[in-house]
Amino acid sequence: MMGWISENAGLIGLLFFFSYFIGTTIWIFRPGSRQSYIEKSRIPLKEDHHD
Amino acid sequence: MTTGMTTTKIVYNDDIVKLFTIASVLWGIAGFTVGVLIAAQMAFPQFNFEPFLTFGRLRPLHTSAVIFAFGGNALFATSYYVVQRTCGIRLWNDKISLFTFWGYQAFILMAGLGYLAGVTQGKEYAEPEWYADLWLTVVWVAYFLVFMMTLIKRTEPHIYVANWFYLAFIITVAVLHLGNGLALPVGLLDGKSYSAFAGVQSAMIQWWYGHNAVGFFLTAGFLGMMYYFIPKRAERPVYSYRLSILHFWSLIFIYIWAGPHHLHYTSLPDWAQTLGMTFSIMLWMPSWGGMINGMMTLSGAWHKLRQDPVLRFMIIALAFYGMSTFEGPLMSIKAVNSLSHYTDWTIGHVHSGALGWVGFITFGALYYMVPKLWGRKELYSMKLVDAHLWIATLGIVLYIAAMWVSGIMQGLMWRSYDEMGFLQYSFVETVMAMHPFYLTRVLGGLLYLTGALIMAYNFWRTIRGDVSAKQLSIPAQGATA
Repeated sequence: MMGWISENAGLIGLLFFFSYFIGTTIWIFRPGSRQSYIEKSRIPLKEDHHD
Repeated sequence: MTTGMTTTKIVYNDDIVKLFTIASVLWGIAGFTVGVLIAAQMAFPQFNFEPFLTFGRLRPLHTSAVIFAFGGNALFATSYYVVQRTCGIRLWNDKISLFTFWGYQAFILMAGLGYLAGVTQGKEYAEPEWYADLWLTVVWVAYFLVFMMTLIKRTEPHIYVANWFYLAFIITVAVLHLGNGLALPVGLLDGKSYSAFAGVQSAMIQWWYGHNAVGFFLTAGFLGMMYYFIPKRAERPVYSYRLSILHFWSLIFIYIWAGPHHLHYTSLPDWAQTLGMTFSIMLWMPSWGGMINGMMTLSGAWHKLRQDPVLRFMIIALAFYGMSTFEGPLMSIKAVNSLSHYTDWTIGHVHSGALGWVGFITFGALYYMVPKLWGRKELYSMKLVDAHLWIATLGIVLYIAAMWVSGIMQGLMWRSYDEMGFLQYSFVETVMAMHPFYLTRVLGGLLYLTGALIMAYNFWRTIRGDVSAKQLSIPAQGATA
C-alpha cells in the first residue's frame, strides 16, 4: 500500500489538486449562490460602527 | 442589510492598530534609508564602514527592515484593523495583542542588532539566529491566537475574503519559519547554530521557505489588505467574490511548490527544478486573478482615480503586482533564468514587487487608516499624498529600469566568449560597466525615501489635527468624507 502510494505520488497529487480546483469552481457557481456572494462582497461596506 | 448587524456600538481596539501603524512608518523610513546606503555602497565602496556597516551586514538589515519591520508591522496593523471591522467584534484579548506588538518589536531589534554584530544563519530572509527564531515563534503563536479567536467570536456569519488571505499568511509563515528554522545551537549561551539539513536538502528547504516568504508574507498578506482597503476607498464591493475564492485556493496551493526555481542549474535534481518552473508559470493566472479583481472593483467608477491619490496608490500597486507576477514566471523559465539568475535583473524584479506592490498598497492602506484611527475627518494634505505618489513612482521606474539594463548587460557580459573561446570580460569589467546604473539606483532609492518622509510629515500633521489651508479651499477633495 505505502509502496503504491509513493510510486504514484505525482499522479495522486495531480488528481487531488486538479479535482479540488474543479470542485471549487463548481461550488462557487452552484445554483442560487449569486445573491449570497453579492451580500458577502458587501461586508466591508456595511456601516462602520466606529464612526 | 443582513442579520449580522447589531444596534449596539462596538468599541474596536484601535490603540493596538495605532501602535503598529506608527511602527510601520518608522521602520519603513529606517529600512529605506539603509537601502539607499547599501545602494551607495555598490556605487562607491568607500561607504563601507568596517566592521559594523559593511554591505554584508547591512544588506540583511535592509531586507529584514523593509520586509519584516515595515511590511510586518503594516500587516499586523491592517489585519487587526480589518478583522475587527469585518467580523463585527472587538479584537480578542487586549493584553495578548499588546504583547504581539512589543514582542514583535523585540524580535526586530534582536535580529537587526545581531546582523550588525555579524550574528547570522546566513540564510536569505531567514538570517536571525536560533534564539531570535524561538522568540518569534512565541510572538507568532500569540498573533495567531488573537486573530483566530477574533474570527471564532465574530458576529458576522461569513468570514470575509480579506481574512482568509491574512489567515493563510499567518499559518503558512508559521509553518515555513518552523521548517526552515530547525537548527541545533552550538551551546545555550552561544549565538551560533547549525541547520538540521545539509547540502542540497538545506538549499531546497531554504528556498521552499524563501519563495513562500514572497508568496505568503509579501503576497497573501498584502492581498488581504487589498481586499479590504480598495473596496472601502472606492466605496464599491469587490468586482467578483467568486473570483476571489477561486484565486485564493489556486494561489495558496500553487505558490508552495514554486521554490525550486531559485535553484536552477544547481545540484538540485532536474525534475525538482522543472517542477518549480512549471508551478511558477502556473502562478501567473491566480496572481492576475487578484490583480484583475482589485482593478475591476473600480469598473464604472474610474473617475475616482482622477480625484483620489490614495486610491491611485492602491491601483498603481496592483499594476506593479501584475507586472512583477508576469515577470516572475518569465524569469523562472530555465532558459531565461540562465541569463537572469545572479544578475541585477533579479534585484530589479524584487523591487518592482516590493516598492511597487507591497510598498504602494501599504501606503494606500495607511493613508486610509490614519485619519480614521485618530478621529480626523481627512488627511492633513491631499497635495502631499499626490507629491508622495509621483516622487515614489518616479523612484521605482528609475530603480527597476536601471536594474533591467544593468542586469541583462551583466548576464550577457558573463556569457560572452571571444574568438579563441576565452571569456571576453573579466568580472571587474562588468562592475565598471554597471556603475552608471548603480548611480541611477541610488537616485531612485532616494526619491522613494523622500516620498516616505513626506508621508510621515503628512501623518504627523494629520494626527495633530491640522488641515492645510489649501485643502480647505478645495471642497471637491474631501467633501464626501
